[in-house]
Amino acid sequence: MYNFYPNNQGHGVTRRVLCKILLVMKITTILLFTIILHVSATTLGQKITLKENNAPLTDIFNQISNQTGFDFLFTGSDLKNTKRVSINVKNEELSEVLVKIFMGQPLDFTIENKSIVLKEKVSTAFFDDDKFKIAFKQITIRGTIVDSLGNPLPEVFVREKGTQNNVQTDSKGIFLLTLPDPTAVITISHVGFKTREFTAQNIPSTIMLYINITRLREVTINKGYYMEKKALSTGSVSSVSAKEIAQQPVSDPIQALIGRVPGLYIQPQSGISGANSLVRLRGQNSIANGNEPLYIVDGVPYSSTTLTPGQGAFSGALGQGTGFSNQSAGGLSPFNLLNPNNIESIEVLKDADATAIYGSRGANGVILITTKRGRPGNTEVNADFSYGSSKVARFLDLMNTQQYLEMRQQALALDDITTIPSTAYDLNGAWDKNHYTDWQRTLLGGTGNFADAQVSMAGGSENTQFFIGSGFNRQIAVFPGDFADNKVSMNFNLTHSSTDKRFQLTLSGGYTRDNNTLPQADLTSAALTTAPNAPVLYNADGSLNWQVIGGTATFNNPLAYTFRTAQSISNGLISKLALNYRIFDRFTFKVNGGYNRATANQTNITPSTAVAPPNNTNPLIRANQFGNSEFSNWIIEPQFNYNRKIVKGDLNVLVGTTFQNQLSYTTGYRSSGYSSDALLKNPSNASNFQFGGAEDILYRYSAIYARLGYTWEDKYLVNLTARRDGSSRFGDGKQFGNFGSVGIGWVFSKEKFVGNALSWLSFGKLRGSYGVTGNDQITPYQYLSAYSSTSSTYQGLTGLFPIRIPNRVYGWEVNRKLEGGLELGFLEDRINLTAGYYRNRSANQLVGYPLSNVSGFISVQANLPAVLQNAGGEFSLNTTNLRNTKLKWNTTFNLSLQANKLISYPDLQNSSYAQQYIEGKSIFIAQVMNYAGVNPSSGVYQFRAITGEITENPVYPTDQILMPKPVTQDFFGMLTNNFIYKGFELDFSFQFVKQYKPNYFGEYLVLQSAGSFNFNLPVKMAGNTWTGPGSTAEYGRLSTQNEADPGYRVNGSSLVYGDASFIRFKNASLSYTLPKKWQDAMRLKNTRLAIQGQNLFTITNYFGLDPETGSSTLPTLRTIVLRIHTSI
Amino acid sequence: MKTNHKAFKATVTYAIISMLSCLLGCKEFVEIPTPNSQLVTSSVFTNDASATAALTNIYTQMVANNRESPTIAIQNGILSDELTSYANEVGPPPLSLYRNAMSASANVVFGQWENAYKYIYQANAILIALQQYDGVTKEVKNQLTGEAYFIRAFWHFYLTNTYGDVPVALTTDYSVTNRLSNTPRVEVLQQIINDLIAAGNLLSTNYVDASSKNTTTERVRPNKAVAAALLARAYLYHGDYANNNTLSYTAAIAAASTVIGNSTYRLCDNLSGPNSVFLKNSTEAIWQFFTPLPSNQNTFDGNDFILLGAPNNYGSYQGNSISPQLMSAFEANDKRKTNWIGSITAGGITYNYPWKYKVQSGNAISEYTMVLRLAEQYLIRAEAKAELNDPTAKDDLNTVRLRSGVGEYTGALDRASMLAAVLHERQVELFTEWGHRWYDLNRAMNTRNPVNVNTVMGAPGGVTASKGGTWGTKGYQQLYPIPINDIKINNNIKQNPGY
Repeated sequence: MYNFYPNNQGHGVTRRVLCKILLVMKITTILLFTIILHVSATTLGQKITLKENNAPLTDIFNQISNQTGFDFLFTGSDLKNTKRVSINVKNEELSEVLVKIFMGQPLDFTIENKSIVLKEKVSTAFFDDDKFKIAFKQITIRGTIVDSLGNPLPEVFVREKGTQNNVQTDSKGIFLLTLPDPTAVITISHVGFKTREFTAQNIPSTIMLYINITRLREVTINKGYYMEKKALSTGSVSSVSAKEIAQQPVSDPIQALIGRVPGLYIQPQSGISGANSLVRLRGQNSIANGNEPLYIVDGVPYSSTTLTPGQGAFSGALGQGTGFSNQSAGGLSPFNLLNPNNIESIEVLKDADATAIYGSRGANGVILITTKRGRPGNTEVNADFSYGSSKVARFLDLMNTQQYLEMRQQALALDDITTIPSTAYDLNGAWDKNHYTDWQRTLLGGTGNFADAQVSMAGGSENTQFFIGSGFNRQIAVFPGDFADNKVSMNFNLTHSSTDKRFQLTLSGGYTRDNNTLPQADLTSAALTTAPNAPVLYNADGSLNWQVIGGTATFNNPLAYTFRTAQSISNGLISKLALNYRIFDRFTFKVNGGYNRATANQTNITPSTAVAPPNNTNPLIRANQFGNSEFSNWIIEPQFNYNRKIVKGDLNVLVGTTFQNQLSYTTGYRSSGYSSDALLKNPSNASNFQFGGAEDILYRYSAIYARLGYTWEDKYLVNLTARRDGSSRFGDGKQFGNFGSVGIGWVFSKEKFVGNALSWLSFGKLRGSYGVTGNDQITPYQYLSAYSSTSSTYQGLTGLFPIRIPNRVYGWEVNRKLEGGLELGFLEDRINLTAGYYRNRSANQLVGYPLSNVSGFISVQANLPAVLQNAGGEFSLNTTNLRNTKLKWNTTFNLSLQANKLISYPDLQNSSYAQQYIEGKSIFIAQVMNYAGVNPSSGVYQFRAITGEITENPVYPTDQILMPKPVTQDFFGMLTNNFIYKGFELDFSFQFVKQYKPNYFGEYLVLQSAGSFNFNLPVKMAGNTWTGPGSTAEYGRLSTQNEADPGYRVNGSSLVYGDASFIRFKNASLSYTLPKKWQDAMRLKNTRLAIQGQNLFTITNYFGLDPETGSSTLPTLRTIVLRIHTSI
Repeated sequence: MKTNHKAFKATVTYAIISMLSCLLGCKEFVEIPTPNSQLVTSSVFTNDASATAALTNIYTQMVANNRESPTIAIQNGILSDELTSYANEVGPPPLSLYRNAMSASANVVFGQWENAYKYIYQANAILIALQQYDGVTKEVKNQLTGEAYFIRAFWHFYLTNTYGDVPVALTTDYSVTNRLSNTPRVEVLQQIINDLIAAGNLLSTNYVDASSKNTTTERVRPNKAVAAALLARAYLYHGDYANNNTLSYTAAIAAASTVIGNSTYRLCDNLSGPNSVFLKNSTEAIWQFFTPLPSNQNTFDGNDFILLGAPNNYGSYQGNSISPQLMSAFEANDKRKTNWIGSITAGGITYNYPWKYKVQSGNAISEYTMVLRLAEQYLIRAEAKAELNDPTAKDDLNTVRLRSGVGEYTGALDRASMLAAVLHERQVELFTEWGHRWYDLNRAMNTRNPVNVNTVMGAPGGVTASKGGTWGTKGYQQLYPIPINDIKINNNIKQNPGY
């Protein structure tokens, strides 16, 4: 229905009432937008189909009103001089249609809310008359710029095309621009909106700008060797922008990716600053090893191997003593040497289409990191400062002194021990029985400061651009003592092209130095287990209290680890030179060359003050372990590019080769026998040396690769890639492998029949790919039968020992990837949905095949006959809930589902994995004893046997059951909301993970030893243990004796696994951009104040410290920082 | 400018051609040299010196890297009635060993399982390589082959005594060794005997130096006598576990006699000081470990046992003292008690420690780690004779007793009494050496010795109870649990009963 409101009296009461109604309607519209996302297309799209010949305006109005629900407001006299209209439009924008209708009319229109208000045309030019126009060509035009909802758009650029003559709209969306000529063309552009062009004389007084539907899809995405428009990509690629990284106060860029990429699961290994993360893209493809994605920084492969030296160089001693032990923290993250602030974007390539061009290294996906570069324009200096603090956000509830001592006494009583043993210091008076320390808060409760300063400068001319950035980051550990991670970095990027644009050069480089000082051990275990009445930490003189009795320490002071410091100094250099030469118009030659180098030097000091008496009297106790590692990598990649248009399509051909050389070297030694703690840093003061060994590893890789892309009218897409790889990690005859992929896409929204039928669909693409990638992530030389030498001599002969069981016949792991995806955009791309299904099957798996010790080595490099499948779905939804001048609201949601299945494993029963895997099941299954409560008469844990009988002595392995869920993630994802209101911007992200994991009992294995000396327990066990025959309690009999039999079976039972799902308020960032006036006054730009929080809180039922990092290492920390950003 | 362009284009074309031609040549690029730290096996076994180095390094691993001698002595010492452990930490193996409460939990491996099979692998690898590659001279090849057999026998011996029925690894082929089942103990002992006989046939009569053929006075490499000495012990054990097999006892006597009759070996007159037992190359030594250099210790036994203060509470090294049971086992005037036991007072408490080795640390090497010595051969022969009711058993027993100043044996001469007497003599003679006591107590069950592991450990007020543990009816504790991870990987291996 439509209404005319003829009102000769002009704007009277009726109008005001109408306004109110309209206001209500407006609010309703907003609500419709924001709450119900599947809004009806009729109220929004405003597409008109009209076919009229010489029709009166009123007829046209009727039709438009019917189609859109918009009302026309005008006075009767307005229509006086109107002409009849002939029009033929199909599915066109309302305002476009209106422009056409009113083109030759004496009327003009404005859209106000849901009404089209007509009024007499105010001449856009002051001098309408043709004669005057010729005489006075110069005209001034005036207009109002609005968005598709009719809201005025301020700060829109209106520019005379091809000139510097421009102006911005004011807060009411109005502009005035003087042009030299009525035929001059003006362009109106605004970020996020489609640019429009008009000739000056035809400009309507109200100009509507449409959201740029191609904004998201016009973006070119980096697929490593080539770029593609996102809309035309046949592959699965996700990217994370500099802005998303900058919102998070993290110093490791990998940690900034957590939750943001569908299919990518990142698990920080520890909350310790600098700790490594476990990164799995689309599940675990390989049973045993080589599940790391390939990392490429600015085109140069970047090693994801931990920098912690000494693994192998010092038989693990260095790894163990550093706070970065392999088990708990996964070593030092190599990505710690990349400054997140200098990263422009991170792209994650997932399917075969995107990764097969990386051939043998693409099986686990490719993560491309691109650093920032300069842009033509004024030189801009950016400065960014953050300061804040980190804290452990969650502790476990443990027993207090009273509960602990009761528990210990009970344990003694149950052991029939009547006299308190001389070693039970907690009970016999050696330790104050009334003392209480909350060890978690004492040892982990500190506040770590986070400080970050970044300065960068960028700019350049048309031909040369540069970027220089420098940063400092300091994080203080939460442990007691003086521990900090200090990082200084510098990087630059220089781009130059010749005037004819035929030749282009890019040079980039970065250098980072990280000085990380930590205690030699993570104090988390000590914090969770030390008896609550354990003595005070320090003596009056500041030395460590060992609570010495009879010359012997009774207290294993946890702070001893903080006196043993581990310092790790690492340096990272990345550099790259790319030369581009367009030989012919369609033919480009390019060479990329890169060199990376990282070194880490570690020292682990044990002073005598950190050793308990009587052991501290040994002259050899003072020790310093040194570990050094060095990693360097060069790569050269010449390539040719050929583009041409064939028929209606664009053809793109790429051929290239790669030569890569990677060298790593680790060494370590231990020095001891220092005469004083003060001399420990210098090994020349030591009397005793032990060489830990040295290891050098060379890896060489060469390949030829090609890509053929063809797009037909931006509608039908084909992408073929191929690669032939050679890797030195394989033995003779097994070095080369062939890989490739086929990707196809269909942008069906470009089809006429789709466009006509589904007007609300702004974009639609179906894509699919299939391909083969490989994996060569194994330790080199495994095919070589070889001996290595020791530093010890027997009868004067330097010893030799075999280093492995060689296997000459292993070859490439083959990963076949299948992917199907659907990308949709609705309502001018206000709603974007991407859904994908993937299925990866890896065969011929490369594993360190586990061997029993009987074989002499615990593994041998081999290919497994097994086929392992990882399949899953990935969804991401991006909605613009609100977009008007005042408030913008975007929501991003992603969800990844994944399942892993061992498709086949011939002769599994006779393999080393017989007890571990089952065909047809996930490789993360847990086969455990079926826990069945505590035996009320004996207090021993019981299990349900396969026969259904309840027994204390289940038989391994026959009585094992399969845990109902695999011990891994079921699904995960993130919900992010972004609000912009005037100068304020608020961003917050919730990460959610559904997973199964070992709980506290599974990590600490306390159930068999509950009751022993100096081992505190969770408060939920207090008063809840078996006390004697007939007692019913949740937990079994206590014992002071570390009684192992048969209670230990409970450690491998269903009781130790649990749900570790969580929802984490991962990130919040609230920023305020200072008003332009103030900034202008201070000659600043983009000045923002922000408060950012990471890991703010977690909702979980997990029994343990942290559902992500578990209970034996420092949990991920809650960090809150204040941040200032400004530009000049 | 134009010519420049042309030149550039030519360069690029050349680059394209060379790039494409690399496709054929890339293979060379990815064929890499062996790393600096590795020596390919074929070159190791093409000369005497490097082949010898590959073999003798197994001894280095045993003595220095893994401290097998004190480790086995401590483990079996705290498991039995020899040592008092001061371990008070939660969870670590020492405490559960001490209380005879071992469990087959995944994160703790008790005993030498891992190391022993590593030595056996290396011995097998050497046996195969010496067959496969030429270049080692025949004399050296025989000596090295003999030593490899010996090492294989030696470690199977410790495995079977610790774990009972164990897999016998005779090849490096992992497809075989990774699927092995437990071999019954008697058959393991038979295999050990076979290997020792093979070793004896190949080994040199004299001790050899690093050349593997020239004679030396250093008693640090197995020779025929060393093989015979271990063979005597293996026969004795075989006799016990094969239902008191008289043939085995006879063979034990014969083997021990070849060593006792060899003039190279004489019991030392002194228990400490000059010409005493544990000095390097003492007359009593049949086989000692060379102390691998560089070293700040003479022996790791001395390093680990000699207390410098109160024992630590880590429970392993320098964390043990001699148990009251062992202290009271010595007869009056036993010189071993005064010469081989040291003491220290700390915090008002006196701790006794094994003091067979006198040097705690220091790089002037005067002592070597003893592996096989003559006194044991006398006791082996005495025991085997006792099993066969041979009255001359008493003479061998007395040879050992007289040296220690305790006078001749005066007890009854029946089999049971004699066996008990030998068992006692072994307790005070061989204490804290290579875990003898624990194996002896276990064997005693099979010889129907009234004094055996169950009576000593499990009797009311027995040793286990005094250590704060429970033995009760759990006789299964005489064997260690087989590491659960290995059973998971190889499901043909069966766990010992009770675990």
